[in-house]
Amino acid sequence: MVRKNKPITAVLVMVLMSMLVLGGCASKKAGGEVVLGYVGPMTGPSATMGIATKQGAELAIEEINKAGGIMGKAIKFVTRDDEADPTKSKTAVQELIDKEKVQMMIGQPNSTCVAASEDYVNKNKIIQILNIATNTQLINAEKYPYTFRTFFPSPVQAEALVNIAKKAGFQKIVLLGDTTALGNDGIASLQAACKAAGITPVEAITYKSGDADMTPVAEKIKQAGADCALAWTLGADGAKIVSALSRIGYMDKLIYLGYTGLSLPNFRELAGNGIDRCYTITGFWSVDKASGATQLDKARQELYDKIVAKYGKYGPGGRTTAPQMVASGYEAIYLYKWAVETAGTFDPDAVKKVLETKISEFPLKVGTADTYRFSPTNHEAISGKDLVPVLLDPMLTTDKIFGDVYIRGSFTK
Amino acid sequence: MQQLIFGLANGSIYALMALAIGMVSSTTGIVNFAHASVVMMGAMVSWWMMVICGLSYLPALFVAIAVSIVLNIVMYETCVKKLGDLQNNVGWIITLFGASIILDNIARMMFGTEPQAFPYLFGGKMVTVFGANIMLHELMMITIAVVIGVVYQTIIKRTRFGRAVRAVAFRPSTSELMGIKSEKIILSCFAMAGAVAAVGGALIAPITFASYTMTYSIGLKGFAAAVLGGFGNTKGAFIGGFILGLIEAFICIFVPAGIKDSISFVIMIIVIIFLPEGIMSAKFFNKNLSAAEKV
Amino acid sequence: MLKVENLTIAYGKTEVVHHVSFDVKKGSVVTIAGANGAGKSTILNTIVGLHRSKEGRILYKGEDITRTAPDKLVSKGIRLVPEGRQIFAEHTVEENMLLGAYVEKDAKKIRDRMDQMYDRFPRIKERRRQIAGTLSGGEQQMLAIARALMTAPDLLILDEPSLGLAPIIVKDVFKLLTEIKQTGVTILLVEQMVDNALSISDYAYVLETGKIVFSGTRDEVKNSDDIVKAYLGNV
Ligand SMILES: Nc1ncnc2c1ncn2[C@@H]1O[C@H](COP(=O)(O)OP(=O)(O)O)[C@@H](O)[C@H]1O
Ligand SMILES: [Mg+2]
Repeated sequence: MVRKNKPITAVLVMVLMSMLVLGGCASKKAGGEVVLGYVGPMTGPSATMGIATKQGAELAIEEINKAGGIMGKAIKFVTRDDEADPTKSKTAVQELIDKEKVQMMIGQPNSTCVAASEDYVNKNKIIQILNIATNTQLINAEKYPYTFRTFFPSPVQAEALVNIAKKAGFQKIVLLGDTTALGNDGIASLQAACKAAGITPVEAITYKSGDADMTPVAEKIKQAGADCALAWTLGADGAKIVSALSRIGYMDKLIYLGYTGLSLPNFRELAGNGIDRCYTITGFWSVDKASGATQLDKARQELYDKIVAKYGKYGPGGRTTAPQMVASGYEAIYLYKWAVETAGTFDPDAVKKVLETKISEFPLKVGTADTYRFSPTNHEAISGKDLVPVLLDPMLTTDKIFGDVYIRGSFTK
Repeated sequence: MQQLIFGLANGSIYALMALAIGMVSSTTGIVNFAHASVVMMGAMVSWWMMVICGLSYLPALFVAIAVSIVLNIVMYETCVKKLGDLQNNVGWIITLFGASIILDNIARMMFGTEPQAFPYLFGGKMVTVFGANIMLHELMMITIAVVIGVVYQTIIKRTRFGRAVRAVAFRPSTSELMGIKSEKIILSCFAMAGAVAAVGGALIAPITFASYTMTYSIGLKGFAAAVLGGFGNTKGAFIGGFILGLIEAFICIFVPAGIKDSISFVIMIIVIIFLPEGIMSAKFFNKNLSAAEKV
Repeated sequence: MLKVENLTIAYGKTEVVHHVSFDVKKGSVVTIAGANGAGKSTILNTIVGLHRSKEGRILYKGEDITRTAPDKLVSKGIRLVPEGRQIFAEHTVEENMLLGAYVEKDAKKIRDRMDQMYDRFPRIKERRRQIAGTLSGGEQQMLAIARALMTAPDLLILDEPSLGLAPIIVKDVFKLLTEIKQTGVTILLVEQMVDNALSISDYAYVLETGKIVFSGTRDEVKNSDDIVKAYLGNV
């Protein structure tokens, strides 16, 4: 025991010492710099989400630093690749907090990664904005007082999905989700939303994420006689299920309506012919073509143009990231800037208070909705009413003028 | 019928993987843990040749086969041969696991992290037989696998080379006394396993999509099939692959897809407990065989 | 025919054969006697190229073959019938014969040679379709010898051919070796107990813990009391 403890003590001492040294440095520099951090997957299957957020944040930071920073302090942005691995993610977050002294972080896109490090973030009073992660448990104004979400979490998405399906008149709804925490959470939310809407789904079908062949899942959907699949599936898995449904000749008998995981570009590339019957949901980042609009609203279109100017058009060889996700990273930085400046201080408790009480005054309207619903007891910005169904397909293929922005869809049974 | 086709189609991939694993383990006694990664490389290279270099299907596949053969040879030279006596040195467990991780990372760096769509043979055309929709691609998967399996067994049973492979499998030093260069035979087995890997990779990629993680779940099944058939028993491994595919296809009618793998592994554990030498050791298979050969 | 000079062999760092020299004249039968663990198999395996010597030279028909690969030596006419027979138990008897002729590419030559062997070994011919592992010990020894003869070697080396066989079968084996000798094949054999071997040998060496301690003609061996006590059971 004694022998084992020695090196640990030594490491602890060294860490403490380096923290003192680095802390000294940071406080010396503090006159001119504020450090913001981001940990997310830059490689691996969910890399597009991580890269999107980083691109958005960097775009915002460039603008802000050019215009004099936040309350006169230039922003230093530090990022780490966690490969969507919770263990790596946690280590990276700790490193950013302990060594880099970040004051605010944009949360990881993967819920499991957020869950692994959220305690530590809040213990250190770091303002954290979740722009992509959807797990319900992650937002809790009491447990995680410094964590806010600008995206739609599982229950909100579930509520929107179920309501859309109900309004369209579907009778035989199946729920789809994988066996990970993400899928379980999704299915549970969908079931709750169904109950609230007075709908009984015919079946909840689960599968193993990353499984080589999804034909059995497609077979189950067919056997259930489903006319609508509410899908809590990630891009590649979802695409495999859709192509398996086409494979067994059932895709034209059903609408595949999925949570936002389907908006990963690989879904559109891999799903094959069935894509024209696939929908996802989104907020204000969609064009209401049916009512004559040809563009996003002004603020969002401007940001979209900036994104295209800086990172290129969407497509092979160009940008791989969705503009809405880039925008959410961009918005997160501006949200923090606004809150700090409104509070007149970087003090996290004051910043938190501004977010909770004055959010309706936040002027930038480029997020999922135009007004956010933060309050001292609610750290979720979005509700189910803010979301609409959107087509997954014409974005890429038939409707080039919209680039990679969603077009609102409508369907009935 | 539909399930039968799905089972056989997936089984054909497990069978090809198990066969290739068996080729290597029969002559060396080692388990090539990097095999699934070579399958993935085969698929990624054919994808790359088709999409980036614009080759058509067959030439792309040939390049992939060549690359996989080279990969396997390099792997033998670096990860296996240097270790010397494989029976008393289990270093290969580490070197081959290492090789698989290295290959995955190389693929990730070279081909990116996004899964890529991979074309079906015959453009994904389907036919209807006895009320079941069958993709020509699936028929080809099964046919190609069976042809490879039968050709391999014929080579092994009937040719001078095949005799030598079995001799080396039985005892390398005695084979040397016959004038067989054991090392060359082993190297040929690695090379053949590489070629089979590339074919399997190109056949499964339309279903799994081509990505560096594409064989994570099927890789394990390949090993499972090899164990099911009895390690080093290429015929058993091959049949084990098809059986595993069928088990999966039929149990998934009864259980949620999420726990399908657990069930098929439970079945396999049971088989292995009762037939530790693999399914080919069952009396059912040996009755006729020994009677015929004792004449 | 075969000349071994100053041969020293080691496994790793342990030397097990020390400065051994001996000579096998063309057309003769030479026996090396030695107790279990003396280093007999080590020497034979080194001659046929399965193991590398640390020091010394091996000459075959005047040519230095010290580091030659086993398959080359087979082609040059050196064949070893290994200790414990080591037939390929899962191959058929005929496949064993074919493996014996592995270095021969000419199908007709193989066929002819096989027919000759079948004439000489009718028991083996009878069982040619059988799995070799099902043969009796004596039959396996015959098969191992027939297999080695498939390439018509000039020098046949046998490692304890009587090991584990019933005395009556051992007699058969040595009768066979006499016949082989008469066809002009040079024979080098090692044994622990040399009663039978000596009866067909022209010359003998005694190996103790990796060193040659005695050498002489058959009669000289028989006249040495020590050797008789140690290596001859019942003469
Ligand atoms: N592969 C090996 N590795 C290490 N030592 C060995 C090996 N083979 C044999 N030996 C040792 O070398 C010595 C000679 O063995 P061997 O040549 O087989 O004797 P013999 O054939 O006369 O019975 C023995 O002490 C034996 O333990
Ligand atoms: Mg010996």
